[in-house]
Amino acid sequence: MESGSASTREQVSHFLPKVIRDILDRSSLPLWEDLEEIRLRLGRPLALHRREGDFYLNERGEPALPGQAYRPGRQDLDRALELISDSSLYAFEQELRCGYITLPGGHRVGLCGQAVLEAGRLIRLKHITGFNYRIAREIIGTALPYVRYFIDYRQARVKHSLILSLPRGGKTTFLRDLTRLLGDGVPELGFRGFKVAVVDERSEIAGSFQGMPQLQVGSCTDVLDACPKAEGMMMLLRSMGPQVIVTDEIGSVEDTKAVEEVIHAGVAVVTTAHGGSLAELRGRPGLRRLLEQRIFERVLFLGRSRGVGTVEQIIDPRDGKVFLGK
Amino acid sequence: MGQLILKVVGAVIVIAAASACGEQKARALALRVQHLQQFRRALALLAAEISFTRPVLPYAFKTAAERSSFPARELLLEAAVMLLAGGELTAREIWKKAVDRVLPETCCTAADREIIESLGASLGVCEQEGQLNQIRLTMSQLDCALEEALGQKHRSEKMWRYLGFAGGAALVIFFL
Repeated sequence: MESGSASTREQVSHFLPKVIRDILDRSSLPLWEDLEEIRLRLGRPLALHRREGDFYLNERGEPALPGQAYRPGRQDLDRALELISDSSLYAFEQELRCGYITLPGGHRVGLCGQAVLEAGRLIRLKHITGFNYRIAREIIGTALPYVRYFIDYRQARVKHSLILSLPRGGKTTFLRDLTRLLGDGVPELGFRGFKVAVVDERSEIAGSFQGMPQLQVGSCTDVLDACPKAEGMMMLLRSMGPQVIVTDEIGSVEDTKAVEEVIHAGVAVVTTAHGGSLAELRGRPGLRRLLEQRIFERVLFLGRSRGVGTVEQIIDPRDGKVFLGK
Repeated sequence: MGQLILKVVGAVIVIAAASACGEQKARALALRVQHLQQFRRALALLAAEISFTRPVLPYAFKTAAERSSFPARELLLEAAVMLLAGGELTAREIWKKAVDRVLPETCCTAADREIIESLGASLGVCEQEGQLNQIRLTMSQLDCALEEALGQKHRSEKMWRYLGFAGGAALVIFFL
């Protein structure tokens, strides 16, 4: 079940400059049903991305060739920045440093411009020339058929698990729904909710807006928003007494060290990583270390064989036992 | 006899009216100082709010307004309400509208108004340090205006009071 396009439209269009909003409103296409991105680039064609691919819109809201498409000007971009920052750019410095601002509803606006460096470190962006409105789409129930593979029923605990796919493969959508199920429990599958805590470094899992989760991650799930993963995991471990810590896209050596700490404290870890196979993961020092220590009990592979987010395989990487798929 | 009484009453009325005019002028000088002080204080509160808790502008305005008095309170609340209502106006336009609504009710001069209005250009479009610098700049401009207003008050307050009374008396003598 995907979140409604009417509410998505309401949530996102409020943050678009009026000119762009009017163009989208004039369009006779059912844009909002499967819209994934709206891209505003200074002096370049207004581009939209739907499941079937990119296309451009002219001033009348009709699909057009790039040469005839509407080109946002400086005024449009300044207005967009003002709208997404609630006329308070100073309140979004951290977000500007990370390159995105989260909107109510969990949607995100990626930003591109000129980097301002201080002692070689990125401190913020200036002269912002590109906005990518990324529409958050949660798919409730996508992890339901597979959640039982992540539960150790005998010990009433969650198995240390890794969700793997190539970029834009549906990892975060799957992880979000899995988090919700683990947090709320599924009585018909024989387990009650666990104490779940999420370290949401890029606000992608819970889509928090001003600290409040906007997407469904479980009614009792604790969310530590916009916090670096390694630091966040340790903080949650000390402060919230979780049974499960969920985080997204681990990869660095710091992340994997934090995962080890968490696991040795008796807390389950559910996380994701970019990669098409275990062999690819072994090429990354941090993840190789975790695999060598045989920490993960379940690895789920997502692919695109039947569309984005298809569960291709679930295995136990310690002995290679396959539970689902080939 | 009746005519004399009428003349005395008339003279008293003229002197009282002229004195009231002088008093009003003197009071306007004092009120200008008071209003500028209120605006300056409200901006200091706004800067503290942005510096420590970094709320979005409408809430920063509201918090600063709660601890301010007329006319700064009215200005900040007016702007906060318009910002919260959304719409197509930018923060700069909203600030200008609030200034247009509230400043005519004050004793501030056109130059004072210009200082306060100029803050709108930077509202919400700078990073924290830049925003604070802009507020501080407006505060220091208000300090100059305040100094000038205080000087004017000291120089002219008594003068307007005497001038009102003396003007009334001169009119009475002239008509008598």
